[in-house]
Amino acid sequence: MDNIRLLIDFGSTFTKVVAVDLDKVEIMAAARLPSTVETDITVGLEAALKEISAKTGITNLDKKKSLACSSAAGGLRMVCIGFVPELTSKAASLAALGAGAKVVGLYSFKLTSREIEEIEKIAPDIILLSGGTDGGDEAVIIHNAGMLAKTSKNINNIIVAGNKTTYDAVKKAFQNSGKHVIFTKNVMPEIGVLDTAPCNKEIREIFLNNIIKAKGIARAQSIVGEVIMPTPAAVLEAAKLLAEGYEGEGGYGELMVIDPGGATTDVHSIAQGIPTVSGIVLVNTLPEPYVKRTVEGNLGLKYNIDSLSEFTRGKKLPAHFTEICRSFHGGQLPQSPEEIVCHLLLSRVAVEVAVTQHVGRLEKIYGPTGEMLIQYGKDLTGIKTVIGTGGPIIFSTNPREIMEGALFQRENPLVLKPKNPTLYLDAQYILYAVGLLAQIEPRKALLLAKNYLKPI
Amino acid sequence: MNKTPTVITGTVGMDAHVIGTKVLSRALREAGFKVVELGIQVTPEEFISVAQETKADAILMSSLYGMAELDLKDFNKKRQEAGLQDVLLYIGGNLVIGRYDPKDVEPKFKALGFDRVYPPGVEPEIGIEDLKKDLTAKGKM
Amino acid sequence: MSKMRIVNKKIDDDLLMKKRREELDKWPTGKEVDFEEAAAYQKSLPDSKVWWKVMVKLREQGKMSVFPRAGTPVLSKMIELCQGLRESGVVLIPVTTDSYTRLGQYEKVQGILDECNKTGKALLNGYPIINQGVKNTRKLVESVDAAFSPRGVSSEICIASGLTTYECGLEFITWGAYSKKMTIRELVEKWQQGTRVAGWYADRGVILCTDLHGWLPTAPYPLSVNIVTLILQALTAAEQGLKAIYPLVHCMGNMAQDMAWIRLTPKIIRKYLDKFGYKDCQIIGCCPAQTPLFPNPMDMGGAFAYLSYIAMVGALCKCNAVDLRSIDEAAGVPTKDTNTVSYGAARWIFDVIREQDIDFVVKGSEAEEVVTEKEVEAIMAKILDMGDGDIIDGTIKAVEAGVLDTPWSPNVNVKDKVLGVRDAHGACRYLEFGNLPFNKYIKDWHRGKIAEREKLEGKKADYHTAVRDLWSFSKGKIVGIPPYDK
Repeated sequence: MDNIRLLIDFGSTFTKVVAVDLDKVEIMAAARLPSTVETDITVGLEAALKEISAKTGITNLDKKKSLACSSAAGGLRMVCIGFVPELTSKAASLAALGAGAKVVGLYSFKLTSREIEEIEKIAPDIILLSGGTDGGDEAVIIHNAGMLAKTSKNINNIIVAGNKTTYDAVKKAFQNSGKHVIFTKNVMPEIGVLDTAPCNKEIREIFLNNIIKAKGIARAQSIVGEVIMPTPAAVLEAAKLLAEGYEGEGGYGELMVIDPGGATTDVHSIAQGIPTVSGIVLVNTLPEPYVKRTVEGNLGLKYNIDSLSEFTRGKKLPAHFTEICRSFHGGQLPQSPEEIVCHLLLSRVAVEVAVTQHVGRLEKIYGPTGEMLIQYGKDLTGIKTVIGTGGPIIFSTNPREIMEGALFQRENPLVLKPKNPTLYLDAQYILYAVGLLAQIEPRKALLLAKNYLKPI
Repeated sequence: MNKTPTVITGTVGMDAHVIGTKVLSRALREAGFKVVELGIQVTPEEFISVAQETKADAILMSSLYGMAELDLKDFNKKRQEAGLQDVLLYIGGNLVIGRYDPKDVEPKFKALGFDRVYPPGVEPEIGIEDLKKDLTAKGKM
Repeated sequence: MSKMRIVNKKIDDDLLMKKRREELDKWPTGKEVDFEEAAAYQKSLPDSKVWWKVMVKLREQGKMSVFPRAGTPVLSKMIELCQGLRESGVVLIPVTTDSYTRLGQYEKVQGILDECNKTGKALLNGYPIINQGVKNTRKLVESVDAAFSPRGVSSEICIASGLTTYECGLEFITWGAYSKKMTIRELVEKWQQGTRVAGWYADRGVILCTDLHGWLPTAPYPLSVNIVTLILQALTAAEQGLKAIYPLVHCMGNMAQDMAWIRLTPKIIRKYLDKFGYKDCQIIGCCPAQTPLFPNPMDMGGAFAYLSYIAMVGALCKCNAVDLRSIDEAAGVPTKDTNTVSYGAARWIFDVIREQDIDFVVKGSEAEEVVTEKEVEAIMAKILDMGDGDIIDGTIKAVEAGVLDTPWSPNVNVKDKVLGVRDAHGACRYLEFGNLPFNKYIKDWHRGKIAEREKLEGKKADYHTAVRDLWSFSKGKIVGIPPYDK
C-alpha cells in the first residue's frame, strides 16, 4: 500500500478526501462529505475514509501517510498592522494572503485604544505587525507593540516583521505580556522591496503548532497525518508548481487560478506582470509579488449574494433575477433552468470583478511627448494558462461561460486581463491535493495535475 | 556654519534636463554644503535610500519635463515609512504641462510634502538662502 | 581586460535579417512586408514621391518647404487631408503617427481604429501606420502626388508602403543629451544596426534618406563639436550603405555664426565623405534647427520671434527646409491652432524672403566659418589619429579622453571639462577648452573675443558667466550685459 496517498481538505462546508495511486499517478477514489468540525471533526473524516475504502476496496488504508490542509473553523484569520496604508500595511496583508490566510483586519499608523478594542473583538489567530523600513521609521511600530502588549488573552500569536532596528525596543514592550511573539525579517526592508517569504514561513509554523490545536482540527491528527497548511496556501503551492514545472518536467508557464467560493472569490497569479509592450511606465508604490493571491471578500455564491448581485447592474438580466437570487441565500443550489441561468450569471460576475481587482490597469496621462500610458499592478495580458477551480465553476453546467469572465475585454482595454489563454478546468477538484502532494512528491504532483486538468 | 549640512540633488523620474541640478549643486558646494549629486533620472526610491545612508538634511529636486506630480505621487508616504519626516524637501522647475500660473502649482506640491516649491529659472542663491533659513530654524546649522 | 575593437565596417547580413523579422512580427500587418517586393515597390515610385529627389528639386528651383504635420486615423479622411495639402502646394508630407502607435500599443490602436472606421470619427491623434499596414498605406501614397515621411516610428512597414525616409533609431543626440549611463560603444553599435536597414535597401537601388542631429550643444557653446559628430554619423552610416542624408544645423542666435555654420556643415561633411570614398552618399539639403532653450511658456511673443528668426536665417541661407518647433514648444503639448499659426508664419517668410533669392553675407560670418572649420579639422585629425585610421574606434577613444566633449551633459560617461559663454556680440565661445585638441591660434581667437565682453562688463568671465548665459537667449537678450542683472 506504499503507493497510495490520501490527501485531505477540511473545509468549512465539506471534508474532502482524495486517494492517489502514486505509481500510476492516478486518482483511485474521491469523497466529499459534510464537515463536522463544529462538533467533532473526526466524525466526518471517518465517514469520508469509509467511502474511500468502499470505492477502492482497500480496507487497510495507510492513513498516517496522508497530508491535509484546512480552511475549517473560519480558516486562518489574521490582522495585519503597518505604518503607511499603501506601504507596510499593504505589504503585511500581501504576506498574509500569500500564506493562505484570511485578512480579517487591516490597520495603519499609530493604533488607537478604540482600534485595539476592535482587534480584541475580532480575536484573530495571528497578528502580523510591521512598520518602517530597516533603519527607517521607529516610532509607529514601537507604539503599536506597546498597545498590543496590553491586550486581553484574545490576542496571543504575534509575528513582528518591521524595522529591525526597533526589535530590542519591541521585545521590551512585549516583556511579561504573556504573548507568543515571533520576530522575523522585515516584510518591506527598503522602499521598493517586498520580502514576504520569511513571514510566510513563520505563519505556517504558527498555524501548524498552535492554530490547528486551538480550532479542534488537531483531533483529526489522531487518525490521519499532519494538517500542514491552510487550504488556500495549498492551492497557491499547486499553482506555483504548475507554472514553474519541476526538474525537467515542464510547467504551464505563467498562469492564473480562479477560485470562486461560498463567501469569497480567490484569484492567484504566478507571473511577473511587467509591461508587455515598450513605452509604458510602470508605477507601483509597492512591487507586485510574483506569487500573488487576492481575495474579494464580498463575492461569494453563498453568503454574499446581495453584494454580488450589485455588480450585475447595467447587464442584461434574466427573468425573475432578483427573486431567484434571493432563493440562493444560505447556499441553496440552482435546480430549474431559470435558476441555473441566474447562478451562472452571478458566478461569472464574481469572476469578472475578482479578476479585474487582481490584475493591473493602465492609465492615460498627458506627458511632454503627448499622451502616455502608465501601468499600475500586474500586466497579465500575455499569460497563456487560466485554471478554474471551486464549486461554482466545477459543478456548473457551463464552466467556460463563467471562466470567460477572467478574459480581456475589448471594451475595457485598460484592464490587463489575459488575452488569449487556454482555459483549464479542475474537474476533479484536486488542486489542493496537488499542492499538498507537491510538498513530498513534486514531480508526481505535477504529473497528476497534468493528467486531470482539462482544457475547455 | 558650525555644522555642515548634507543635501541631495538630482532630477526626478525620467527627466533628463541636467543643467539646473548641475548649477545648483555647484552653488551649494560653494556655499559650504556637503552635496550628494545624483544627476539625472533619479527614482524617488533612490532619493530616499541615499538620504537614509547619508543622513541628509535636505533633498533638492529639479524637474523640467512636467511629470513631477506623477513621479512624486507617493513620495511623502515613502519618506514617512523610511523615517525621513525631518528631511527638508525642495523642488523647482516646470512642474506641470502647459501654460500655468506658478501660484496654482505651489499648493499641489506642498500637499505632496514639499517645504518649498520654485518656478523655473530661479537663481540658485535664492533657494540657498531659504535653505539656510529653514535649516537654522530646525537647529541643523 | 581587453574590449573588442569596434570598427567602421558593414554589419553581418544574417544578424540584420533576423532582427528585421523579429521587429515585424510584433503585429499581423508585418506579414504584409516582403523585403524584396518592398524594394521593388519603392523602385516603381515616381520622382515626385521620393523624398530625397523632391528636396533636391526644391534646392534647384530655389524654393523651400514647411513640413506641416498630417495625421488622422481613417484612411479615406487621411487621403482627403493630404490631397488638400498637395493642392495648397505642399510637396513633402510628414505622416504623424498617433501616440499609441509611438508606444507600440497596436492592440489598443486596433480597438479604437475599428471604432473610427465605423463612426468616421478621428479618435486617434494621428495616422496609425502599423495597424493600417502596407495595403492601405499604399492607397494613401498612390492617391497623393507628394513624398511621405513617417514620424515617430522606425518600421519597415513604412518602407514597404512607399514612404521614402527612414528613422535609423539611436543617434548622438540620444546618448549625449537624454541618457545617463549609455556608453559610447553602445551608441555606435546601435547606430550601425539602424543605418544598415536603410543600407540594405540602397544595395537594391532604393534610396531612403535620413536626417542627422549629432551631439546637441545644450547651452551656448560653439558648434564645432556638433559638426564633428555629424561627420562621424555620416561616415558610419555611409559605410552601412546609407545613400542620402541631410544634417540639422543647431542655430544658437548669433547670425554671423549661424549663417557660417549653415554654409560650412554640408560642405565639410561632403569633404569627409569624399575623402573616405563614400562619394555616392548624397547630402540632399541642410536644415537649420531650433535647439537652445525656448522662451518660457508664458512668453508667446518671444516664441514667435524665435521661430521667425530660424525661418529667416534658413531663407537667407537658401536652405530647402527648416526644422521648426511650434510656439507651444515650452508649454509641452502643441495644439492644432498654434501649429497652424506657427507654420503659417514660417511659410510667409519662405514665400516672401526665400524667393527673392537675396545674396548677402553678415559681417564677420566668413571669419567664423574659417575658425569653425579649423576646429573641426583639428578634432577630426585627432580622432583619426587615436583610432589609427578607423573612425569608430577613434570616436570611442576620443569621447573617453574628452577630445570630443560638451558641457552640461547628463551622461556620466562624458568628460564635461569644457565650458562655453557668449561674447560681446552674443556669439558662442569656448571659455574652458578641456582636452579639445586646439592650437594656440584657435584658443587665442576665443580668448580675445571673450576679453571684449570682459572689458564691457568690467569683470572676468568665469563659470558664473556661463551659468547666467544659459538663460540669455530664452530671456531675449544675448548682447552686452544680460537682462537678469535688473
